[in-house]
Amino acid sequence: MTSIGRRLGPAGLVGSAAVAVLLGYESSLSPPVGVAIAAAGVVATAAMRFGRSPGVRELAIGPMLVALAVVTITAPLSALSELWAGLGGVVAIVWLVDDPDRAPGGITRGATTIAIPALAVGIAWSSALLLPGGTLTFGITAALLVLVLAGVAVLLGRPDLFDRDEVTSYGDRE
Amino acid sequence: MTLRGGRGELAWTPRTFLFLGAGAGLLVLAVALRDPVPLFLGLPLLVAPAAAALSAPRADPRVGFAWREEGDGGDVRVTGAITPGSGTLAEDLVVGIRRPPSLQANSPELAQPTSGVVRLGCEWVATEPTIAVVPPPSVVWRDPAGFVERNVRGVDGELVIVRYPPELTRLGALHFDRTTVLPGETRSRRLGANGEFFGLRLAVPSDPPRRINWKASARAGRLLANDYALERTGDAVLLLDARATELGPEIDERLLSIARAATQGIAEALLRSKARVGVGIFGEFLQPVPLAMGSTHRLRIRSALAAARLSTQPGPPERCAIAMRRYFPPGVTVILVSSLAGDASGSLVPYLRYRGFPLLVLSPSPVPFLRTTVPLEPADDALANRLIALDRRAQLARAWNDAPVVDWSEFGSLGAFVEFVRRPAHRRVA
Repeated sequence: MTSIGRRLGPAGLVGSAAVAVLLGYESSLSPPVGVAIAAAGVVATAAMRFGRSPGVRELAIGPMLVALAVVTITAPLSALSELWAGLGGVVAIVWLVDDPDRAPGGITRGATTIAIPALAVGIAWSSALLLPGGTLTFGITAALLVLVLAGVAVLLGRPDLFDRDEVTSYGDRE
Repeated sequence: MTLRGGRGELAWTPRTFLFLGAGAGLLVLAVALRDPVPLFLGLPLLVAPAAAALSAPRADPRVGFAWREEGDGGDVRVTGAITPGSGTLAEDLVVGIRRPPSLQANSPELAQPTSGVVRLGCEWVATEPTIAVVPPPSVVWRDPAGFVERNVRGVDGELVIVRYPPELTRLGALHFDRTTVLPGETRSRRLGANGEFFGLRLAVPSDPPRRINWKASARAGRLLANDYALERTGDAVLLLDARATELGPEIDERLLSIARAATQGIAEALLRSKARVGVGIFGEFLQPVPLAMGSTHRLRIRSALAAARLSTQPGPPERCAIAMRRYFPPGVTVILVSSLAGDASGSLVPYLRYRGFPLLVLSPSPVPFLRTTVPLEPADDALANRLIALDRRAQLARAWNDAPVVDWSEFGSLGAFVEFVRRPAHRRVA
């Protein structure tokens, strides 16, 4: 039986709640409304992780992503908002990896899946912070993201790109 | 649900599309609003599935798989282990166990990764006699975030669970000439290389050395060989009526499941007593398993019965009788396992008899499953049950004109059947 603690996923829950509330507080909506939206998303996701249907649990992260998107869109343009937004995406992955339906230790096993997006966010945020700002930088960032999107679309259409033929020794053939 | 191109390819889960959709939406919003903040949220969402795919095995991983069934009576315990190969963690394997509908779960099925091995554990209950085929568990490799999946190779082999009433174990050796009032099988004796010592005869060149009785040969001054007598209790054919009736598919399926289990149990009991056993499954056409004996034949019968399905195109009884004559010698005792529900099932009995097969009918009763769906007053309910019982008695009486019938309504026990075939009497068995 999965315990309540495992169902909640403490690392993901605390991280997501903190980031979402910070973003909600900073959003151009009034602070109580922003915080309420962020909190509602986190609570809904936490509740869906207790769902009976596997399909509900599978897509439990959805409400939190929607809440994060709302408070992110309404957040003012600042280095801190960008950082919280990037961290929001990363903690969403952390929460996902801490899956109560799977064996414990998901965060350790999924370190690659967490680290690569975190690295991408780190590079993007430090570039935005250190490089001179302006519409040119924004255009380059958008273009890079479009390229990433196109690359992901190609990968989705060609999953065999990740495949590799099994090695067969002469002994196996015999 | 996953999107996969086929075996050997990486498959994306719905979670991937949720993340990519959200990331793409944020990208569009950022460009439309000329606001870079949503881009920072979208970036990890777009990158994460590709990162997960990079951590996936490059080919379908192989695992070692073994499982077995334990328990007795109605209890069914299935245990097993899935041992991942090198480079694959047991924690990354997602295992799904499909319980056969004829078994009920005592507790949730377990697939627990423990010290590098996924241990399987199921505790089920068979409330009725059944032959249940448990398909091999579905095993996939899934990344910890649940973005990508891969099939796993090496998990195959069905598990066949057979549960039948325990009385069949004391069915013992039967002499089929006593099971019916009609002329049937007689106890036969076959001389050969197996069985008890029967006598001596002159050796022939084809006799192997171990069959030569050397001491007797020395005394007689010529080569003598041993003869052995294999006493056979007779041949029997178990005929399973797998045709749909007007009872409806739900009740028909349950009765067929019970009948299959009883047929398997009787076949095993007869094979243990060194009888030759054949099986016929009659749906639209007859599917025969020819007369034979031995442990291999037991598995052959089990496979045939496990594969038996209800036929929605019921074949005419005459077709069954003609096919029986084609595959089995006339005069062999036939144990017909049929619910006898409906005219078509009942008419099978005289057709088989006219074709020269002495019959004994074991009839799983549909009465326990016949419940009115309309709520009735207690008096009306009792009257309805009484009418159902009378109709059943009329069906059995019609069949009794041609062959003895054992009505089987208590599915946990086949005591009435065993008693009848061991000590047959010219009386009805309820």
